[in-house]
Amino acid sequence: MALITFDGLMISGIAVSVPANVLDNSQRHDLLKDRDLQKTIDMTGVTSRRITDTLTCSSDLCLAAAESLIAATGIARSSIDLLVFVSQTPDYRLPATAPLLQQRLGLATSTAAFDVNLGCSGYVYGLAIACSFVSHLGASRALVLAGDTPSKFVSPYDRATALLFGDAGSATLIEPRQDGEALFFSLNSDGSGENSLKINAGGYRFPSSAASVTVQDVNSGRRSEEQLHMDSAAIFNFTIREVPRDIRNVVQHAGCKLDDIDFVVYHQANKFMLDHLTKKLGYPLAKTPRSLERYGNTSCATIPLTIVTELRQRLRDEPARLVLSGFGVGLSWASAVVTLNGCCIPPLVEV
Amino acid sequence: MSTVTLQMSKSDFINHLAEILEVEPSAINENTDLTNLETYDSLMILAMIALIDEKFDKVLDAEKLVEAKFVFQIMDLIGRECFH
Repeated sequence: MALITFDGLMISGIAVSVPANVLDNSQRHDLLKDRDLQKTIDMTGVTSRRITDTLTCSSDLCLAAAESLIAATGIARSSIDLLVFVSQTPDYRLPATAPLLQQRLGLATSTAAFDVNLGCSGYVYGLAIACSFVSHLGASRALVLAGDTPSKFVSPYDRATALLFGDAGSATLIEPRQDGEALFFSLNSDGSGENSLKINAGGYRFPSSAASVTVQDVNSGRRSEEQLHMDSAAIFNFTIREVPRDIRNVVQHAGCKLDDIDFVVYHQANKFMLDHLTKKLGYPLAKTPRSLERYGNTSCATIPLTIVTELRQRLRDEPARLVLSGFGVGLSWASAVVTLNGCCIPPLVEV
Repeated sequence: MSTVTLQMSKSDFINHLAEILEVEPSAINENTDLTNLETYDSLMILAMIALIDEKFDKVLDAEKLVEAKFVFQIMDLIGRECFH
């Protein structure tokens, strides 16, 4: 396991944007019978989600978040040395989306820019990458743009996934700060669980074909080979096995105790899972903020989205020490202990 | 990780299981085929994994739980040493 510590820097700003279009799960009587619909909503905890139109991409949501953050912090665009775009819904198969965002944001051509293809764990991985550039490689400021539009790859007729996912984009700024509190990370992977969350076709192992886009009957409804398959039980198994242990590890690595943590901000997988994880950790439920009720599972954007929608007011008043924990597709999981102190958090942007 | 075997009486386990399945405890026993119950579905499997993890500190494989149709088979998976 990779346990990492970074000194001399801080997370100085976090902004998030969501599509203005709201989808209400209680209206999906076409998908499930009343009783099953309510049971599913109760278990996932997702009552509504934000969904983009067909023209808007993850990059557009991240761009709006980044513009909001640059305006709110007042930083010079020329001071950004690194742009990391974390997403599984890039604009194109190639080129990578990060260089396009460098150009659209008006950043210098000396900016290092690349994509990171991770989902649920991606935000924490993205932060660790940005921290390493700033801490060890001398970058001045780093921008992590983490966003996804799962609405584009989820079948609306697959009961396992149709009511769960939402779209969102985020921007997080990392910069040097001599007196900044250290940041601690634990990064992990286990590809033996690759089939638990997968879009099988459309890459180069199983290229796109007429057959791969044909919607077929499956156990949980209907979907094509180019839409998301999720084995909920396998993911649940993996999460409750690995995540509590990983959180305890990173907290210990940070030299503190769970009691010292003000909030645990989880990847917003589903309510049932987060409640169980929290119980298993022996941590107070009230200190695990949730955005999934109104925004659903927005893949790599859930952690910044939860910070912005649930903790913005609280963080304005005083600093807080947080555990961030992302886990899922890969399988891949990552946890961090970070202190937010004077972090600029503009209001949620609607696109 | 605790190395102590967590135990529970059979009737307590049946009560917990009945609560998840939304049936009266008297409606199920060790020989009940859970797949015959109207409330048995994929969410139920997750609830069972969570219950067993919480009460016995054991994470059972979802696949094995799906294969175990009868209550006694689930108790076998958990381990007979866990019941008194």
